[in-house]
Amino acid sequence: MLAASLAWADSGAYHQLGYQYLSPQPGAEFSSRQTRFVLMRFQDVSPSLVTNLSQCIQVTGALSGNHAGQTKIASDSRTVIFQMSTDFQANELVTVTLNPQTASGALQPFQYQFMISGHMPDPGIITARGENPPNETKDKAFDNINATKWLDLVVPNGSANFSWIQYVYPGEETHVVNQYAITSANDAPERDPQDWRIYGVDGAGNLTLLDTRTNQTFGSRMQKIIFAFTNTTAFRGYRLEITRVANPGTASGVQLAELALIEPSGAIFRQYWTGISGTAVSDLTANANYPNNPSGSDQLATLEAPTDWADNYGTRVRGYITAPNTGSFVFWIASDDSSELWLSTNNAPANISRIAYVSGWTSSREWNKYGSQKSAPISLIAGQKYYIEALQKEGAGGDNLAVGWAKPGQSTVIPSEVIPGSVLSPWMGGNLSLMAIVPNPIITNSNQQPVTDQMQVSGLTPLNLIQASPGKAGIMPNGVSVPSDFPFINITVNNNPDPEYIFIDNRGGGGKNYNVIFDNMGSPVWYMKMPDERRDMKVQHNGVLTMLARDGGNHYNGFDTHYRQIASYTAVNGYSTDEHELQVLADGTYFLTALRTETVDMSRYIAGGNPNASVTELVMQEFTAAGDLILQWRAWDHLDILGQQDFINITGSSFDFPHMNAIDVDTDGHILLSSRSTSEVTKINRDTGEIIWRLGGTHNQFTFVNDPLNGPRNQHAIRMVTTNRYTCFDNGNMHSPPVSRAVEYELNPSNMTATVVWQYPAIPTASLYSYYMGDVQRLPNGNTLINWAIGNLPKLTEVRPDGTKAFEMNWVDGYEAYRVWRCPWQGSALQPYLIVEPYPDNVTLIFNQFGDTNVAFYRIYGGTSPQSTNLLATSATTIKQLSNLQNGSTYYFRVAAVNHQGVEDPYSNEENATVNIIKPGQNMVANGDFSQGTASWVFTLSGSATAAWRIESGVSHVYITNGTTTLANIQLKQTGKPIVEGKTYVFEFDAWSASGTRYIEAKVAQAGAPNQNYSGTTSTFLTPAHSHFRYVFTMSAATDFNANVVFNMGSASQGVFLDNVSLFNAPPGDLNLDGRVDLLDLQLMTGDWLKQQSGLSTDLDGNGKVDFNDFGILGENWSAGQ
Amino acid sequence: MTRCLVLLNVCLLAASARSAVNVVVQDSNGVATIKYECTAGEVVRSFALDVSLDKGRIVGISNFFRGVSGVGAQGYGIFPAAFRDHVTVSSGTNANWDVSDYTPLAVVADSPGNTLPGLNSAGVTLEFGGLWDGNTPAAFPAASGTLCTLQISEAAQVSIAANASRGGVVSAIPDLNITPVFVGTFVDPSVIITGIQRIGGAIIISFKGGELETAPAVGGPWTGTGNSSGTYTNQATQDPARFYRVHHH
Repeated sequence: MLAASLAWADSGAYHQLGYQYLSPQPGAEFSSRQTRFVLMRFQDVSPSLVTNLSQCIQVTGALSGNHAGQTKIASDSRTVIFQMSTDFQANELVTVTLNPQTASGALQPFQYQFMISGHMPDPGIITARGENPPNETKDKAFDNINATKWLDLVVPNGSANFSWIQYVYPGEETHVVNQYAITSANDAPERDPQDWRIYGVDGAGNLTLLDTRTNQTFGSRMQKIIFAFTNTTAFRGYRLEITRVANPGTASGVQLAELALIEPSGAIFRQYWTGISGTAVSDLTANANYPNNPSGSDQLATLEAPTDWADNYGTRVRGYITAPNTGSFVFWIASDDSSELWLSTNNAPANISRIAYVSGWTSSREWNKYGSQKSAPISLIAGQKYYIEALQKEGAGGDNLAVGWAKPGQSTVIPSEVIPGSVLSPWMGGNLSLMAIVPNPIITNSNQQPVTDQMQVSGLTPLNLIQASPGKAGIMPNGVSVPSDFPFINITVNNNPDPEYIFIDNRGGGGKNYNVIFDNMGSPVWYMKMPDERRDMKVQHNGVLTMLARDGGNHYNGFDTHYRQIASYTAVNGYSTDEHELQVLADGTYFLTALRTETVDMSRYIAGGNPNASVTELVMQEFTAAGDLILQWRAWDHLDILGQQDFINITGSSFDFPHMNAIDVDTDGHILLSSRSTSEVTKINRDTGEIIWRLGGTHNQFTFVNDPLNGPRNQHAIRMVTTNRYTCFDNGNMHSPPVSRAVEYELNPSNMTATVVWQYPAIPTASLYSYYMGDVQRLPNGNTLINWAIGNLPKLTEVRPDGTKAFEMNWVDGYEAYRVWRCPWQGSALQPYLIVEPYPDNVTLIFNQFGDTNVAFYRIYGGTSPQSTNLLATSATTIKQLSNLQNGSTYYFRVAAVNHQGVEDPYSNEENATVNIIKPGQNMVANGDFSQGTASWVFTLSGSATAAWRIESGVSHVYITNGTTTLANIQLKQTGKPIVEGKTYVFEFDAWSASGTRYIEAKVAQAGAPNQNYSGTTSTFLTPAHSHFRYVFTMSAATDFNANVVFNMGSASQGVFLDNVSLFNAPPGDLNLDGRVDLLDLQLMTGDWLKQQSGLSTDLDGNGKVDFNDFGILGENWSAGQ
Repeated sequence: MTRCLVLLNVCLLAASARSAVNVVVQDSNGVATIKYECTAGEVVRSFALDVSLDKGRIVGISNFFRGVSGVGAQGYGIFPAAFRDHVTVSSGTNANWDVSDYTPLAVVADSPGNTLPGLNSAGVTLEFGGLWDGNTPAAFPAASGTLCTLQISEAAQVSIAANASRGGVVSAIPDLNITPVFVGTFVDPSVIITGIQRIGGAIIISFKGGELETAPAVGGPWTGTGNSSGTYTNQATQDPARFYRVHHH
C-alpha cells in the first residue's frame, strides 16, 4: 500500500482539473466539526452547465460517514454550494469527492481530504540534493500528483553528479518498506532516472543500501513502475540516490513525478464461532468449541471486523501490532454486542491483560458510549511487536467490532484511527502458518489521476434648559438630551474640517458602552447606550449603518436611515463572527472575519511549541447580498504560522493566528487583508483565494522605499486609496522605539517596491504610540482621519495633506474607541429613544427622536404596568423630570413624539424605573435616634485603636480606651446616601463627650478614595454638655449615590455620645432649613417681600428680587399637611 | 393617585408650551368682579394684578378667599404683603387668617414705583398667591373662579393688567409658561330698582348697584336682604306695604 504519510496534498493541483476555488482547501487542518459548506468554483465553466449538480459533491467523514447535503448555485451565479446539516467528528479525515459533469467534459473528477479539528498526518521530512523552485520542488515527488514533478538541476552521468531525494517519517516513526514506485515526469524523458540506489536511513542518518537498479527505462510520460526488494528492517526513512539519467548528454537535470515507498501489507487474524447464542463474551469463551474449533477464519486489513455480518456468533481477532513510535498509546474498542480487548506487554500471549471492554453494545466505531471502552495510556516502544487480541460476542441484530488508537501526542478524546494494517501482523501460531499475505493491488495506470489526495430635535425651542455636562443628564446645544453617563468629547482643533458626522464607539477603557454620531460641534445627532461594546460603527458602501453586536454571540447589525435594524451579518461554517471588520459593498456583498479556537500541537511547528496550545484561527468569509457564503479564506490554508513568530510568541499556551483585523476591496476587486500577528497585508485573489502579493512581515515581497521604518509592524486598517495606493495604521509595536503612524504606500507590483508617499506624523514619535487598534481614513476633502484609539491619545485627528490639523478630539474621560469614521449620513428616527434615570429627587426621562425636525412636542406615557397608555405629561424639550411619582412603585414609561401636524408617532422603547425618591426633608439616616440599637450603623476600629460601642437608653456611646492619634481610627458610619449635585442638605445631630472636651469629625463624605468631604465640615467640638449641631451644605460635586455619613472619633480618649442624627435634603423654599416648607418659611419670604438685593436666602430663583416667582418655587415644595 | 398624576394630567391639555389664562373683570350688579379662567389645563400659582379705573375710585374690596387652599375650601388666599403685616404665625402649620386687614391689597411702600395707590384711588395692586398640598388633588384651586370683587364709586371702565414687578401670573407647573389674557369692562355701580313684578303670590324685584334692603315703612327700620344679585323674589305677605331700596356699598 502507499505510505499514507506521504500523501501530502498540493492544494493547487485541482486547478489543472478545471477548478478555480475549493473550500475547505484540500489538506486543510483544524477545520471545525461544524463545517457546513463545501464551496466549488470552476475555472471556465458556468455552474449552470453542470448536468448532475445535485449529485456532483459527496462528503464522507472517516468516522461520521456520509454527510447528506443540498447543492445549489450561489446568488453570485458562479459558486456551487454544498450545504450539510450535521457535525463531523473531531479528528476525523473527511473525503470530498467532486464529479461535476458537463456536456463538454471540461471538468475532471477530483477527490481530496481535509482534517476536522486536528491536523493532517504529519508529512515527514523531505530533503533532496537540489530542486528547482518555485514549482519543481522536492515535495512534488510525494504529492501524489503525476502532473507535478521534482527536478534537480544536476545531471547524473553514472560516475558523478549523483542526485538524491530522501524521506524521513514524522516523529520517531519507523517503517518497513519492501517496495517502491517511481513515476516518470511529464516531459524531457532524457531526465528520467536510469540507474539508482535505495538506502534505508536510521535515526542517526546512517545509510543502509537496500536495492540497486540500472538501465531502467520509462516507456511513457508519467508512467509508474514498482520495484520490490527484500527488507524486514524498519527504518526511519529511505533515500533514492540517482546515479545516471536516461541521456546525460542532452539532459539538463534529473526529474521524476512521484516516488512512493510501499510497506508490506499488514493484516490480522480473525476466527469466528457461529451458532452460539448469547451476548456475553463468556458465552463464547465457555463454549465447547472455543478456542480450538472455530467455524472459520480470515484476515482483516485493519483491526475492524465486518459489520452486520451474522447473528449468534463469537469472534477472536489476534495478532501483533508493531509500535510505529515510542510513547504513550491509548486504545479503544467498540462492538455489538459485548467485547474485550487484551494487550500483552510484549509479543507473548501469556502476558496479556484486559485493557478495555464493552459490556453492552455500541454502534460501529462508537467509541465513547462506555468509559470501559477506553484504555489507560500504555507505553510502547517503536519497532517492537505486541500481542493483541480482541474478543467479541454477538447475539442478534446488528453487529460490529473495531479497535482504534491514539498515538503519542494525539488527542485522546477519540481514536485518531482504526488501527491500520500497516502496523498489524497476524498471529503466527497454530494453523496460521497456512495463511498467505496478499498485498493490496497497486494502481499502475499512469494516466489515471489520483482519486485520493492527502491532504436632533431642531423643531423645539428648549425651555428651562437643563444643560448637560459630563456626569449630568441634560440637553446639549443642539437640543438633544443625554443621560448622566453620556461620554462627552473635547474638541481641541476645529478648523474647517470635513463636514460629515463623526461615528465613534466607546469601547470602554473605563467608559460606558455608547455609540455616538457627533457633529463637528461635539453635539450628538444620534447615540445609543449599548449593553456591550459595539465597535466599528460606520456607514457601509450600500448606505447601511453597521456596528458590531455581542448579544447572542458576536455579529454585526445593519440599520437603515431611520435606525431600524434591517440586516444581521454573521459568520457561518463553524466559525464565530470576529469583532474586527465588516465590509459591505455597494451591491450588498459583504466580507467579515471569523474565528475559531482549536487545540494545536505547536511542537509540530516550532521547537518548544506547546503541544496543547489554544490557537485562535482566523478566516475571512465573503457572502453574497443574499447571504450565501461564497469564499472562505483560512489562515491555516494560506499562511505560515511561523511567519508570526517575529511578532508574537507562538510557543505560549494561547495566541491568535494571524489576528486578521481589517478587510478592504482593491480597485481591481480583489481583497486586501491586514493581519496583525504576521504584520502582513495580504492581497488575495477573490476568485481563487490565491495570494497576489504580501506586504510586510516575514514573507514581505516588497522593497520599502522612503521608509525609514522599513514597513509597517502590527498594523491595522488597510485601506485602498486608489490603484496601488494604500493607507494603514502602523501601530509600530515592533519598531524601535515603538511609534505609531498613519502611512500611505504606493506599490509598484512590477518591480515590487513599496514607497512611502505620505505619513503622519512626518517624524513618528513615541508620544503618538497606540499599541493596539487604530484607524486611518482618507476623506473626500483630501484630509486624513486618524484614530489613535487608546485612551490618552486623540480619537480623531484630521490632518491635511501638509500635515496641519483640521480637527482633533478625544473623549473627555479618555476612553478608548476601536474605530472612528466620518461618513455621509442623514438619519431620522421614527420613534424616540428613551433612557430613564431614577434620582433621589425625581425620575428623569431622556428622549430623542433623533434627526426628526418635525417634532412639535413629546407625550410621556407611563404607569405601574407595562404598555401603559396613561398620559403622564407632555414636554416641549427632550428631557423631563418627574418628581411626584408613587414612591416604591415601578413605573413603565414610553414616549411618543407629536409632529407639527398633530400626528403622534410610534412609541419609544419602554423603560422602567423603581421610584425611590427621597423627599425633601426626609431623614436619610436610618436609625438616627438609635432606637433600633446598632442597626444600619457600621463601627470600625483601625490601627491600634481600642474602643467599645454601646447603645445606652437610645443613645450611642463609644467608650474609648486608646484613641490613637488618628481620628478615623475609631469610626461610626452609615453608607449609601444619595447626595445630589446642587441640592442643599442639612446634617445635624446631638453629641457630647463623656468627660472633658474633645473634637470629633462629623461629615458626609465620598465612600471611596479620595473620600471627598461633601459637607465641608472639619471638626466638631464636644463638651459634656448635650449639644445640637447643625451643618448645612450644598453638594458641589457630581451626584454621589453612595456617600457615607461619618463620625470619626479617634485621636482622643474621651468617650463620645451621639443621638438624633439626621441628614436631609432641604427643598427649595425651606428657608428655615427645618426640612419642611411651611408657614414659617412663608413668613420668612414675605419678610423679604419685594426686596431687591443679592444674596437673600428668600430669593429662590436668584434673580435679586423676592417676588411671586420665588413664591412659586416655595409653593412647589409646599409641605403636605398644611 | 399621586400628586404628579393629577398635576400633570391637568396640564396635559396644554398642547404647546404656552397656553392662555384669562383674567377678566365682570360687572356683577354694579361691582367689579375679578375672575380667572384656565383654558387649557394650566394651574396658576399666583396673580399679581393692577386694577385701575378711568374715573372715580375703588372704594372697597371683598369676596376673596383667605389662607391655604385645602380640601375644605380652595382658592388663592395668600397675600404676601398683608401676610407679613397682619398674620400671626404660631407654628409651621398654624396662623390666624381671620384678620380684617388681611386683604389682597398690595402695600405701596413695598415697591412704590410699581404699586398702584390702593383703595380710594383709581387703582389698586392686588396680590393673590396659592399654597396647597400637591399630593391632594382636592386641595387644588379650581380651574376658574373669583379672586375678589371691587366696589367702585361711579360707573367707570375697569382695566386690569399684570403687575410685572411682582411676577405677574405665575404658573404652578415649572416648565409651562402661561400667557395671561386680561379683559377689562365697564362697571356701573348706579343704584336703581329697575322693575317690580307680581307673579302669582310672588313679588319679583329687579335692581342693580348694591344690596337690596327692605323696610316696613319708608322711615325704616331698613334691613338687608343679603341679595346683591339684581333679582329678588319674595312671597307676598299680609303686610299693608313693604318698602325696598338698593344700598350701594
